[in-house]
Amino acid sequence: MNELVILLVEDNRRDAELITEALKEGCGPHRLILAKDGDEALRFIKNQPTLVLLDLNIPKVHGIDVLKHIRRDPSTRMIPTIIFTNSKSEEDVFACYSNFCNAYIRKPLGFDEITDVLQATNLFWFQTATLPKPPPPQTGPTIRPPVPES
Amino acid sequence: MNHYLKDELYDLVRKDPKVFDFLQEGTMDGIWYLNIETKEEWMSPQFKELFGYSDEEIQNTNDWWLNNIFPEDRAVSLRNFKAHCEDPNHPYDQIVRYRHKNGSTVWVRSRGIAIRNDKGVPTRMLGTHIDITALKKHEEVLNQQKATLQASNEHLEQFVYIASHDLREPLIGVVGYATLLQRRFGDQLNEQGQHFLEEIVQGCKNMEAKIDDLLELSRAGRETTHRVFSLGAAVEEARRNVVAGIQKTGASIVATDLPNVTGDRSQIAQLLQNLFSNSLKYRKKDESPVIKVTAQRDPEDPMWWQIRVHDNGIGFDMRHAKRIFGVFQRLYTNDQYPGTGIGLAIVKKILDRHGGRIWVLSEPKKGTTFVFTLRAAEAP
Repeated sequence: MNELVILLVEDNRRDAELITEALKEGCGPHRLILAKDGDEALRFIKNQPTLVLLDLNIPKVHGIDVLKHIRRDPSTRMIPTIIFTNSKSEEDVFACYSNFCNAYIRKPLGFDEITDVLQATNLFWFQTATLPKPPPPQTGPTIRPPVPES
Repeated sequence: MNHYLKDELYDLVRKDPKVFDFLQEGTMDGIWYLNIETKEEWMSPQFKELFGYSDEEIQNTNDWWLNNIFPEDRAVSLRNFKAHCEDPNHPYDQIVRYRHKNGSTVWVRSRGIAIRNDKGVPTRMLGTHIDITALKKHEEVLNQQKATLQASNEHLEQFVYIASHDLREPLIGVVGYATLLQRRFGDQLNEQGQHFLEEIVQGCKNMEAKIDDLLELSRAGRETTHRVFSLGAAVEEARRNVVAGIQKTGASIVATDLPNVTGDRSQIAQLLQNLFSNSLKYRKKDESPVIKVTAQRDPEDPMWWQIRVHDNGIGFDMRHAKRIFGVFQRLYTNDQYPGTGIGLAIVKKILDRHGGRIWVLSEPKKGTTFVFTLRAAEAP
């Protein structure tokens, strides 16, 4: 099985540490990449992680715009993207599903609760659901073959 | 009713023009009298003064008013004039605007009555003006104040909403670390240490519950739609939402002869659900809860219904009747009856949005009755 690479987009240092520890307990072997703001998230997403955990209220580029970007890019649009945030505002939930997040989960209180949620996410996406093979990453602008002059 | 003084007064008016002038000055801001055939029109000096003109400045024809009334109000006046000439029962009575000599707007209530000849054909029109500009200005100020108040209320609600989210955020860390500590290092703590940690977690969870309730309160009653719906259906919806509590307590909810009302059905269902939850929570230990929902026309205003939600619970002292609708106001500690004290505040807010009232009747050990009013769907 391929290595599980999780991109965690989280600006809150404490939440990031708790989620990191919870992933260690609940999600088996994996590699974790932490993005502390929207810019970093957009940079790391090019590496095609297997799962994105995305906070909404993050500096620089807002979470919803990161989500839009992930869905626009053909090389990343199939990556399961889970919104993991504190807000339970109807507007946020609506906006995230309208932009094709795979799930909207409100961060629960308690370490065990966080672990349970992440374990369930892992279980569903990597042991239950079938995912497509990722398309080749887009490394740069497409170069057109030169058209021979006639 | 005839009275000798009335007869005397009418006689005086006929004989002495000063009496008529006095009456006119004291009760009205202008008189006009129109010859419908020739379009000549006499306007009293006060009539002209009201718009900033002396008696000589305005010719006694009906050109002046046609040119100085606001065009849309002229259309209304002419329409009513025509209708009144055809049918005396159609009132010539409207609020219109005139342009004052200084350019300002004068609001006038203009009323008139056609004087008809032997054949019933109108030949004259007698009319009065009452200046209501001051009233209109007050109304405008009031409307402005109302709009400002509404905007500041919405602003406040938005603030509470955002603040509630921000207030919850640190709790994720506090509870997260406390429970992580418990999990990783719990075996190094004695029983008291474990207890301390547990209290940290419980305290934070209480706070979370309050924050979430504040969120709900700030959202309650938003976007209220007013439609006719069956109150019985709303009761049914509320009942379904508390079905777990009903089963746990063996409760029954009895609803009889409920009318159609006007309002936001899902909000009223939530209101009922909160009242039902209250009845289930504050039940007697040795008796299954029985909740009765009844309705009667509001004796003070038959266009409204009074709805009663009555229970056989533990009741409370009426001294506290006002407090219980306040935010986070509770009559019991969290250990006696868990809760945050927001349920009835939401009920109150929903009714405020519906223009309804709510009050409560209760007696310790006898049960509680909540009474609230909703607009009727049809007249009795």
